Amino acid sequence: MGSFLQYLSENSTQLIFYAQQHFLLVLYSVAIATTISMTLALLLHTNQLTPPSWRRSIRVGSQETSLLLASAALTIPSLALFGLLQPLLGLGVTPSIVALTLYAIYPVLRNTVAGLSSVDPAVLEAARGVGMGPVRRMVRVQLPLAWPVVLSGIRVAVLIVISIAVVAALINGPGFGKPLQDGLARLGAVNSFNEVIVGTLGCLVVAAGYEIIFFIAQRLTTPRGLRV
Amino acid sequence: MTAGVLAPTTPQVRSRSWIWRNRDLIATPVIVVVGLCLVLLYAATSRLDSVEQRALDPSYLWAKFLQHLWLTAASTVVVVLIALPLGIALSRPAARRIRTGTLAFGGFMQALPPYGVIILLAFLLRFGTTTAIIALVLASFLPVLTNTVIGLRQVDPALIEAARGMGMSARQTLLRVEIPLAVPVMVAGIRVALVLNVGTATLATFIGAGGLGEPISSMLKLARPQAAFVVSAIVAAVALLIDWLAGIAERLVSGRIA
Amino acid sequence: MSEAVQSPTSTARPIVGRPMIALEGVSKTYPKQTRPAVAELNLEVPEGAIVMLIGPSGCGKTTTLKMMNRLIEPTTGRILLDGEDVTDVNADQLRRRIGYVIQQVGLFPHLTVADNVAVVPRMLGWNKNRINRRVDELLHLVGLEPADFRDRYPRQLSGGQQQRVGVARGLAADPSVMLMDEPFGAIDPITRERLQDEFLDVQRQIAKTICFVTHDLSEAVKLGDRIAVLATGGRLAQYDTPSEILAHPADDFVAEFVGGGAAVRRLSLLEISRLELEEVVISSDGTPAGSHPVLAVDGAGRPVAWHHVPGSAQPPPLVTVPLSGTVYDAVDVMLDARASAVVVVDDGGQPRGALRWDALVADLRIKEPSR
Repeated sequence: MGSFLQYLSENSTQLIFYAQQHFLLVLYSVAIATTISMTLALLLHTNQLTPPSWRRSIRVGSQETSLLLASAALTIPSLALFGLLQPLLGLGVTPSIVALTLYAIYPVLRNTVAGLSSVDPAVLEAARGVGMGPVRRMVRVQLPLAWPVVLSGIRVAVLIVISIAVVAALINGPGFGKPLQDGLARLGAVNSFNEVIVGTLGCLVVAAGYEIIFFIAQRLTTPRGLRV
Repeated sequence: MTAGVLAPTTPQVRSRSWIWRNRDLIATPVIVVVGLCLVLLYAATSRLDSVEQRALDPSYLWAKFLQHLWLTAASTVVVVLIALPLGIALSRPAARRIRTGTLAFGGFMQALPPYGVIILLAFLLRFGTTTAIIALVLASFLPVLTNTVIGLRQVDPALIEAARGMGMSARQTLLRVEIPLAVPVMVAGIRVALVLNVGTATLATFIGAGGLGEPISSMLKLARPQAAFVVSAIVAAVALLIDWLAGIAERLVSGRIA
Repeated sequence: MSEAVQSPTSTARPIVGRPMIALEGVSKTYPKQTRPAVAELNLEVPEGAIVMLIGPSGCGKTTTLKMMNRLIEPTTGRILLDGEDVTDVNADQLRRRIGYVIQQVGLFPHLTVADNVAVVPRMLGWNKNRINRRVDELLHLVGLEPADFRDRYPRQLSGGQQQRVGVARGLAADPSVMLMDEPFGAIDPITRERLQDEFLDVQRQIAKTICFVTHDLSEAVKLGDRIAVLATGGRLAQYDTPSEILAHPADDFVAEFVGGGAAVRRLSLLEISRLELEEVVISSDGTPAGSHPVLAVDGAGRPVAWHHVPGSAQPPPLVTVPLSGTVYDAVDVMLDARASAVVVVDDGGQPRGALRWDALVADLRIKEPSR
């Protein structure tokens, strides 16, 4: 324990750097994934307009297909995904972000779709009856009501990506995968065990940081009427 | 009683074949097989050096595949054996106080990297297959636990009241009513754990447990991107097919209830 | 309180049985509450009777019901089933002797209708043949054709059908006592009325001791042999036949609970068959014959029109009401047609007498009970 604390204090700058990298890696991936997922979900969602029935079945079908594809991405082992991306994107930061973004799409997409669907149709009907156009209905009524579910999906995506991001070190990616990798490579050396611990627990530290952010975000963005 | 005449008759449920009703399931294997064929075609037509050829050797890959299968199956079975009873216990009213805390903790722990857990355990115990299995169990434990608890908690309380009111003991209610109705959610959790294990097992190669991660990591290390690509495609296909089989099992189980 | 109180307008079957269920000094106080949910309740349910528990929200009627099968354990007091003290016996085994039907029905969605009904017999270890026969018998009793419904799943049934299965399930092991907690509450009014009629029909055949919780006074009046009106805190405000409660509420609470319209409600308790009807004279040419109403009939003897009704210048439109109906039906029919008299006919359509509007408010005479 003592040697661990010593290790921490000796390498604090380096560790903070890793934390920052990991944090940002997750941030970029999830942010891009959220943008993609929410755009996709909004485009596909059946309640947005009143479509004729054939268009409706295409919408539902494409919703299912998107979810299927996104979940397929999550099924592919992380190492394999990195291997697939390597010829195209090489090593380093770019394939890391791309792979993590692909992983993050499913939780956000699934929750956005579920959240939008869970809004009581009667409420939307009332909004329509008051004269709200489709865009305004979505922005003023449906999204705010679906938001808690969407936010929880983003949170799940963040947690998953934090844990997968360590594998990025295998393709020279940033983050806490590096000390993990180093510790493994230098098995038996003085600080190798500490490096492994740091690599593993560092993720939890980043996760704790994000949990705080989410807590605040939830408080700020959840409409007062929905707050339990 | 004339009521028989007055009672409205419900149309018989059309008994279409199960396969027809679940025909959307064919999509995944078709896509996987097509994609795999394309990739293998690419592999066959490109010139591979001896290193790459060794990595793509069918018997070698098959051996790795069996190792991988063993890692995945063993860990998933162990997880089910441990997490299922624990989840049942946690769902009982008596466990109310620790339940929310445990579930919240479980949610947070999704951030714990399986890769880190594997290496950590290897340091603490020793390198090899057994440690890998233990690490896999630890990494995939939570989804099964969480889903078991949630699945049981969401059983309609009216059903439990009816069961107890008829004289079923608490144990009988659990076995005959609650668990059968919670099975779809539980199976979904087991499926998540299975997929997680397939993925994490690819990392088991780093602690000497073999598995399909070995050819990928060696190709990456030796800077052979094309071969890495091909092997990765194979591994991805395996993972998708295993998930697909689990999905069929899930459909079969849920169909009887919902 | 086990003797029947027979008032002239009472339609209750004379209940002289011993109490099947008895609550003695039963109370329930929840751990963190200061006031009891149910306080010192003494109640006896006679054998073969339908006792309705009714009262405002929070009066403890469901709590009382659930104490009878100990889904809620009483804080104090004794529960006796057919004279036997069951306060401390094994609760699960106790409940297998009592039928329990709830509002949400609670049919197990993963079991077929037949399996649902067979739950308690299976627990009691009946052999397969006996169970199958019993299931078919009960499905038939509740009006669901066994061949058609045995293998269906609950989700394939309508709300009314589900509740019928629920009742069948409660009756499966032939319990002496049935507890029913607002079983028809979640059903639409039309189906509910039909279910209530069939319920009475079934009870006539099997004569179970039934304790029935409801919040609907009309249902209580229609179905109950006795009504127990509970006030907040499980206080028994009045326990008597429906007509007594309507006619003579015990205190202000009961009076207010019963509310207005009690007199009209009481009409539905009065069967026409128990009245002395006014005599009608059948004539083909309409000569007035004294102070009796004169009726014209067709070749089969069925009434076609009034010739003359004393007290009206013009003969009123002809309306009929069956002998098996209640005074409420007669009033309804007369109001609808704006007729001052109604002909009472039997099953064959033959006239048995007349009821005049004036007599309803003045001079209704009851035949002496001829049981």
